[in-house]
Amino acid sequence: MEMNGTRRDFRESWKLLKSNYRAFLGIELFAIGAFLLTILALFAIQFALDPNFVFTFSSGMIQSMHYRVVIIAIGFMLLTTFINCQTGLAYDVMSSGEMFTEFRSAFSYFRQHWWKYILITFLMGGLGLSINAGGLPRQPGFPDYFPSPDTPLGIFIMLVAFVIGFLWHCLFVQSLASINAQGSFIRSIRESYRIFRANPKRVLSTWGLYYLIFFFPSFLFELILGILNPSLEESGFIMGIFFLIYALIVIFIGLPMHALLVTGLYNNIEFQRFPTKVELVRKQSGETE
Amino acid sequence: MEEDPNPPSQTTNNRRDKLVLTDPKVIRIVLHEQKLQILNILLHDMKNIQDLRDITQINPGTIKRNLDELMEHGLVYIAAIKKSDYNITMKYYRATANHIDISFNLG
Repeated sequence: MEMNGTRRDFRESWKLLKSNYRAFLGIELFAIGAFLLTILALFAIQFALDPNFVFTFSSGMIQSMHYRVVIIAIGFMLLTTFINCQTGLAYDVMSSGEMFTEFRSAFSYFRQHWWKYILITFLMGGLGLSINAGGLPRQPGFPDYFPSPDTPLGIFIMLVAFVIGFLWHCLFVQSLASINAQGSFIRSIRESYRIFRANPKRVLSTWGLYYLIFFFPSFLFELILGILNPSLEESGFIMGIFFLIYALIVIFIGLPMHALLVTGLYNNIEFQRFPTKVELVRKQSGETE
Repeated sequence: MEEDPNPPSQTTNNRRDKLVLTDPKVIRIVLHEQKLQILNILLHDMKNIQDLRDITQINPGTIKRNLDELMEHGLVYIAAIKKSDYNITMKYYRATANHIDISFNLG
């Protein structure tokens, strides 16, 4: 029964993505452009202030590393905020009544909800994604944070972390659709929890399939690499090709599908809703008349 | 694109049998090729933007802008707001009259 709902979620989202692809593609390219430009601009400012920045890298390494981390963090915040604006586009398609959206519409959602999108991204993905990516524990500097995946215990811990990340995502992801509908950050968190509680099977099966298609192959690939531990010479080219193709699929299909799926789930699961912005305006205008 | 906060007043059936246009400004709007095409369809039946796109092959954004302008001048209204079986909200538009005549006198 829930599998039918999940199949429907994917079928409808895919259909809507195909008919509104230009808007979704447009905001993604804009987000990537904004990310790259921000990083370049901040490095340019640094270079203008201190032309020897590049040459004093070794002596000022710690400051330089901190500066890079901050720049990339700012860039990523901008990137994820614009990516989350796709849920606004999905709201246009599914809930505004017009059944279509335009690229420029994303900027109106950015203006209204940018800080809420950032907070939700931190809440939803900050922990989950870093665990799922599995990269953080094995970065130089964090050598033994998690056991390496070449031991059974390491594999077990990585799988448990993956499942926790997935559940965490399922619990909070519906906030993104709720924000566009009713506008309040706190209420969006509560609504997301209510949706999960109202129909956990549908939420888990839809996001489970999503993870299976757009997340798990990368995780599995990383796990296999961790176990086999091949030399970079042998695996570098294959890894590069895999990650490039997979990243393109995730960015240009997975992320818009994510926005449409989250909005579809929000609209289709019966739960106790807070009044939407539109309902509040109607109520207020009704009272004043 | 924001959801219209006042659809109930626009969905009331204010359709009449005949509408005579005398204002040159409104006449000019009606005679615009795309608007005329859209209005002609909506005289006979209510349609949503996707239906209009399928029939006219005009970009939905352009259709929306044309509809907004027609609504602004009282030529079109939102006849119904329905939900699909996947809970997708759909606005249906209709012309405000069964017939629209243009009357314009020089001098």
